[in-house]
Amino acid sequence: MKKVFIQAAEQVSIQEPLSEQWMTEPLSYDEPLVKAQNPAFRDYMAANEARRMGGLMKRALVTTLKVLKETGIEHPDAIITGTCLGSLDYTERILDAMLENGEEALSPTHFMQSTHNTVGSALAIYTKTHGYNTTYSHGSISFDLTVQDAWMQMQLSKISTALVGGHDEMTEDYFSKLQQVGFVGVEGMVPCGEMAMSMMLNTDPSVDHLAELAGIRMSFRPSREQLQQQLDSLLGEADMTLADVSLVMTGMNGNPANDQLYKATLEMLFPDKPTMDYKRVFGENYTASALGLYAAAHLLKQKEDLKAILLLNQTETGDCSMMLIKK
Amino acid sequence: MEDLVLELKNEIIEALNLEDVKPEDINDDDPLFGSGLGLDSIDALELIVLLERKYGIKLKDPNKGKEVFKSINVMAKFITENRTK
Amino acid sequence: MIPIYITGSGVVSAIGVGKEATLAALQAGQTGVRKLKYLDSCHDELPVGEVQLSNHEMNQLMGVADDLRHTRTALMGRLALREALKEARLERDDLKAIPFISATTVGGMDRREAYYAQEAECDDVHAEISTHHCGSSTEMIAEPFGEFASMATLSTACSSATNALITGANMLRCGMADIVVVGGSESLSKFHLNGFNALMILDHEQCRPFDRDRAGLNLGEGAAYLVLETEASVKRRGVKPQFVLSGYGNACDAFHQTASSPDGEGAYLAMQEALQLAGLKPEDIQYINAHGTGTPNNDESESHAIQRVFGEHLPPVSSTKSFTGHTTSASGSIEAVFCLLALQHQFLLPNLNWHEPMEDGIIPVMEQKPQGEIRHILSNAFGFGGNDSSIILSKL
Repeated sequence: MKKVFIQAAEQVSIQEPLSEQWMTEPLSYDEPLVKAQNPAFRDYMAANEARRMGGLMKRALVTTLKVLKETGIEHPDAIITGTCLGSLDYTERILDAMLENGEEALSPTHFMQSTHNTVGSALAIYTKTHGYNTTYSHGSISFDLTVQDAWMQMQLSKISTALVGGHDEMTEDYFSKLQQVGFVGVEGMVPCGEMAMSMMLNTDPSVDHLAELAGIRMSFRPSREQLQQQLDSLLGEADMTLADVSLVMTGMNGNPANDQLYKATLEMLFPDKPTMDYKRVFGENYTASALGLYAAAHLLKQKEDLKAILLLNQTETGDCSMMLIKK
Repeated sequence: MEDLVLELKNEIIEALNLEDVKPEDINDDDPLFGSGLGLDSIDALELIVLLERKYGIKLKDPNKGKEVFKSINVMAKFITENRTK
Repeated sequence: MIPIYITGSGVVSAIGVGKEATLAALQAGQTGVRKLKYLDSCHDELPVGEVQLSNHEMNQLMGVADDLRHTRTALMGRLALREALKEARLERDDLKAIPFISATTVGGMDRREAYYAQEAECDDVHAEISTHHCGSSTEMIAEPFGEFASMATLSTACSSATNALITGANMLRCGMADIVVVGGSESLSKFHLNGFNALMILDHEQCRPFDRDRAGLNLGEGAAYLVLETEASVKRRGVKPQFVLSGYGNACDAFHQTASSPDGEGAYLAMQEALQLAGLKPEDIQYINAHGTGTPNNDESESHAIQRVFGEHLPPVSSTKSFTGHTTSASGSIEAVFCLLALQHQFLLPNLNWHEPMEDGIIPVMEQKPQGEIRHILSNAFGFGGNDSSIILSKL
């Protein structure tokens, strides 16, 4: 098994951007929908280079640029992006325009930037990176799939470095529809947020790193036995036992429909483990698990008493992902 | 014509999201593409949309755009001669 | 690289539902690009490659009732998936050990654009929201057949399905699974028909890949899935594959969001990688199924990239997009299935509608009779944003 390290990770979200301030002074909100706290984009990219980019892309780019700078890696071997909704804002501008003008006079820029893979391609175009480039878009496991892909290719010795990222934005209109079907805006639930997170994975053990990514398992509607088996093999491969796991980070968010999935799993697999719900800090959106992994990596680096963290991501339709990281 | 020139400059700045550019920065006879403002093929398409949306002129051939969008003055003249709105 | 066997495949496109109808159309040189019929768009001046079935008719073929939530992407995906699973002799219970990797960009946009304007009644909202995103279409495609071991959706525009094949192949090589089902599905939508129109890259006539006077692409729709398996699995199940996926490559052009670089760097790198992984040289390839959309930019860029890779060892090249239109996210798997048919029946896929050579461009093949045995085929899929992928399919 080839070891994979989380070399660096940066975020823009509803917390202070490009910083770990959330660890000590998290911002808290009462509103059900909270837009991202954007950094001064001008400080990172020229206005004319970013003029076609919507908010999602700018956030993804700024987190990428910071990670590339920190790691000194100009051209990662792979850029693998996860986004569920893509540039939702531009998508809706086209839908609005189609309502208003019929099927005439639509903006080519909005269309061009609306397809899901434009974020990943924009990162490659901006950094002139010709390596492997792909985009996953599968609801709340969009980001987890990027980690799985990078992991696989590293085990195959195809790549040594990978920039993985999870990015999603939210609009008022889409939020109101999600609220009507009970996905967000539920009483007692964390706010719906916007997020961008870029992370450098590297197989070189000599680089400074936040944590080691010890493994990932993804499944669809696993049985109890299968889940137990996956956890056992995840721990086994990492030469660890359950006792070594200091903390389980979950995607619980205060929405009973969502949380009950986790409660069942926690009871079965991690009955006595301390837990942390990363969505309470970063809010809910389809790529929130990216912020979960980001937070876990930084926590492991900074907190002495944490040895290993297991991240649990479960969706209402039945997707399940477990990621194990350790010091 | 002067009003149209100023209006056109503002429309272009907005349509192409040229955040740092003001109307007084754009010279009326300077090339819009290549040098000058340094616009590209996607911008040309956006200007075609602008012509249709604001002035009711439908340009079917994207290559015709190269002549029409030579400069602000050339564009303004074309619009004056062909606008339906 | 370990052998990656292809043990089943299924396809739906403008030239037919299923491989038998598809083969007949390919061999008859019969295009499926026609006047708009099913999509509710005012742009009927734009020829398109529509699957010749309404949503209702597709449901009838599957034996299910119509549902407000059904996306056209999912319905055509189901037809193709059914054919693939049947050929591979995979039953409901087998799927529990099989990852499903699908690709789409449109997803449920047909539902979203239909309901966008309406006052949100609960059912409409459910239909619009619960089926809009890409992953929902994948789930909907899989649903009638059983529960797969895991699900994934890729979305890299026109190279999506090829990248699904690549991810699936990597899973097999890593030992994460013994069998994977991979491919993609994409229906037409007003959203992207108008989007492409705004980019002014649609031809108002049937497209002319690699022709000097080519004027753009025709959009199409369809779906195709392939079953990939390891040697151990093939032996255990006693199936007899005819083909392997012998190589693949993925690289980024990193040039522009909608145009390819003049020298086709991304395409060049993807093709080189595929050859390297397959352990093959350019002269080992007997046919190239080009991306060949018929746009001035792609065909020029791709010609240069192919010439850079193959030099004087250029095999017959053609694009099948004048048969089906450009099926965007599904094109990689649809055209892979066409290549399998070519390998199986030993014929070259003709390039329709070509008349005049491009300057410095590829001259495509228009006849079907190959010079010798076709053993290896290279197939390209290049997406907006420079997401360039290539695969090599080989006969056993």
